[in-house]
Amino acid sequence: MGDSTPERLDESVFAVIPAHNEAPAVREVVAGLLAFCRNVVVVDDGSRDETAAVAREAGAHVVRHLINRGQGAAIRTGMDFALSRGAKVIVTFDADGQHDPADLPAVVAPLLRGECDVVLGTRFKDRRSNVPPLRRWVLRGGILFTRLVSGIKVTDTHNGFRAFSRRAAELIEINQDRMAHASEILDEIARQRLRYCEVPVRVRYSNYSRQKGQSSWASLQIVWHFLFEKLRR
Amino acid sequence: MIIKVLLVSFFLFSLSRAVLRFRDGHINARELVGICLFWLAASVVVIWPAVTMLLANLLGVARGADAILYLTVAALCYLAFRTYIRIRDVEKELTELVRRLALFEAERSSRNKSSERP
Repeated sequence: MGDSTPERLDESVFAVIPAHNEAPAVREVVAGLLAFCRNVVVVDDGSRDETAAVAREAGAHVVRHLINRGQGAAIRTGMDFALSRGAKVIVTFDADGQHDPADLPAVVAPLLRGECDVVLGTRFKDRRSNVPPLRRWVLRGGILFTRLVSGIKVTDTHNGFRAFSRRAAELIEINQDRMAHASEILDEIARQRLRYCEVPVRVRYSNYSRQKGQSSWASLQIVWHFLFEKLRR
Repeated sequence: MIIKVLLVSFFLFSLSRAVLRFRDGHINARELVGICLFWLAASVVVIWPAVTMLLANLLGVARGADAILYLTVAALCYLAFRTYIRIRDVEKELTELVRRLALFEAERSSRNKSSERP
């Protein structure tokens, strides 16, 4: 991105940000995204801080869960909202500032060119992300797990930066309310035979994002939730 | 036999709670009868443990207390699984409710905003 004022994407592109107690970070994230797209939706997932007010002030559409229901549920609500507003492309983006809004045009580009239905951001295709060593191994476990269970081959299974075509957003069912939705989305891509591709994105591991993020132990819980739900299908 | 006194008084306490809940209307007469039968049977077993031998012989277990223990563990595991699934279902319903409400509110507030404009 060489330009100081990037050209904003079409208004049918919606960015959805699930946010739970992210008041310190969400303003900058919303402002950053608004430089690249016109519609930013923050789903305030039962925050006890000023997340909703801060997001609204920053210029986002705000949808509020009255009580916390988890990131998967918040993404689903944000997608439903965007679909009801006529979105043709829906991007999911993390609220804690770990993603770089400047990557947005590259992430939606394959969708706008009609090359695929889902774009998955990956932190492992270039060297811009400072992934801590333990996290790198846990994520490798996730990649192997996804390949075995869902039969889908990607380099980063748990990256919150993704983009969906309208058709993909309508087809994909997210039943996992909490963090296992990331595995579920990949499983759905395979099940619905959607065309997907990966685009390198930068993930910044700041003290804030590491503190707010998932511990590596949570991966075991994610596996359990995902398999339990898959068996019930 | 302090254990007998302790257990039987606990069973009687539970029984009295069930009667109170019946009076409040939280449980119906059939449920009250079921709960009473359960605690009375438990009291009988505690007071005359020999009766459990009937069950033990029937099941091919050496001791009556073991027979009761095995059956109880099995029943509790079943209940734990059932409760787990029940909670998952209730959580799903709760999520659906929260999501619908969020979308409804968002729609309503945007409609109000657009009607304010001249």
